[in-house]
Amino acid sequence: MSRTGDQELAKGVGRALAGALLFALPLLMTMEFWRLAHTVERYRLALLVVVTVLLVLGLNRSFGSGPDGVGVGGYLADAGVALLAAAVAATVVLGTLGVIDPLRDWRAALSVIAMETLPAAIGASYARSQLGQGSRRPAGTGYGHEVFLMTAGAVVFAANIAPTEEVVLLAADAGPVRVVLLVVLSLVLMHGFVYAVGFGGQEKATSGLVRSFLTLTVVGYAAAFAVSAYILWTFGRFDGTGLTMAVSQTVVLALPGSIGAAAARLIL
Amino acid sequence: MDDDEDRSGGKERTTGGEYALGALGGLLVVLLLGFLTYQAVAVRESGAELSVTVTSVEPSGDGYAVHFRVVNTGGRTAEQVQVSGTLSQNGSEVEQSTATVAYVPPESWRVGALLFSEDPGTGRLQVGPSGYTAP
Repeated sequence: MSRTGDQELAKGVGRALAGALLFALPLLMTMEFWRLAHTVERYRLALLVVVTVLLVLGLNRSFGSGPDGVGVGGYLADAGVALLAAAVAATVVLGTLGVIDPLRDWRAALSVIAMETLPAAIGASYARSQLGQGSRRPAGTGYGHEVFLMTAGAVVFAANIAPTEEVVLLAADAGPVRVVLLVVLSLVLMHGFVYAVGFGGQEKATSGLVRSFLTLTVVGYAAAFAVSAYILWTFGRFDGTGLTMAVSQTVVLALPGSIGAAAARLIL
Repeated sequence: MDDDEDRSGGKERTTGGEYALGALGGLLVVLLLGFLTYQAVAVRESGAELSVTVTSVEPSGDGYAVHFRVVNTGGRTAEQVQVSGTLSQNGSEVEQSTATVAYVPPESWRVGALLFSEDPGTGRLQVGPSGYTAP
C-alpha cells in the first residue's frame, strides 16, 4: 500500500475515534450506564448490538453512496472500522477511568462495551465520513433517507440520556398535562431547529408549512418516540411498569431524541 | 476496488488497510454476539451467589478495620449488598458492624471494610453477606 494510503487510513481511523468519543463520552461517564450494562437482559443486549450493526451499515451505505461511491465491500469495511473505533475508544477511556478492567474482568468489560457501541459507532461513522478532507459525500436526499438520518440522530441523543434515573423520575412527576406539553414542545423545537433559526443546513419549507410539518417534523418525532421506547425497553425501564408510566418515560426521552433527529437533518 | 491507485478519485477508494480494520470490526461484533449468547444460555440462569472473605484486620483510627472482599460467583448482579460482621466473646455478642456495597456484577469482586471498636482478634468474628436487592 502507498504511503499516502497509510496516512489517509490513519487519519480516517483517528477521525473515527474522535467521533466515537464526541458522541459517546456523556454515556461513558454516566454511573447508571455502568450498572445497566451488567443487569440488562442478555438477549436485549444482543439485539441492541444487532440493531447497532444494522444502523451503522445503513449510515455508512448512505455516506458512501455518492457519485464516487465505494461499493458494497467499501461500506462494509467502513462500518467495520466504525465499530472497531467505537470499541477501542470506549475501552481506552473506561479502562483509564477505572470503570472497567479488560484484563482482570473481561466479561464485565465486554458487557459495558457492547452497550456503548450504539452512540459511539454512529459518531465514528459520522466523523470518519463527513468531517475532514476526503470525506465521503452522501448522495441520497430522498424522503426515506431523511427519515433514516433523523432516526440515527434520535438514537445518539436518546441513548446518551436513556440510562439516567432522571428519565424515570421526571416521568413519575409529570402529570398528563405536562406530558402533552412536552410533546408540543418537542415538535415546536424540532420544527424550529430545521426551518426557522438559520443554522447552516437550514431547509426551506418548499411545499408549505403544514405539509413539511406533517411529513417531516411529525414523522421525525414518531421516529424519535419509537427509538426512545426501544432503548428504554432494552434498558429494562418498562419492566413492571404500567402503560401510562411507560408512555410518560418515552415522551420525556423523546425530547432529546427529537432534538437529535432535527440536528441530524441539519448536519448529515 | 482493492487497488486504491487506479482511479483519479483515490481518496474515495477503499484501501486494503481499511478492509483489514473493517474485518477486525466485523470479528469484534461476532465475538460480542457470541459472548452475549453464551451468557444468556449458560451463565445467566443462576442468581447472584455472594461470599465474603476477610483479607486483613488492621488498627484504624480509634478502632479496628476488618477488610473484606465480597465475590459474586453467580450469574446476576447483586445490588445494595449488605456485608455484616459480628464479634462475639465467650458466646455473647459484643459488637456488630455492617457495610453496604453498591453493586457486585457477576464474576466480579468488590472490597470494603467493617469497623469495630473492640479488637476482633480477642473474640470470634463472623463476617458474611446479609442481603442484597435484585436489579
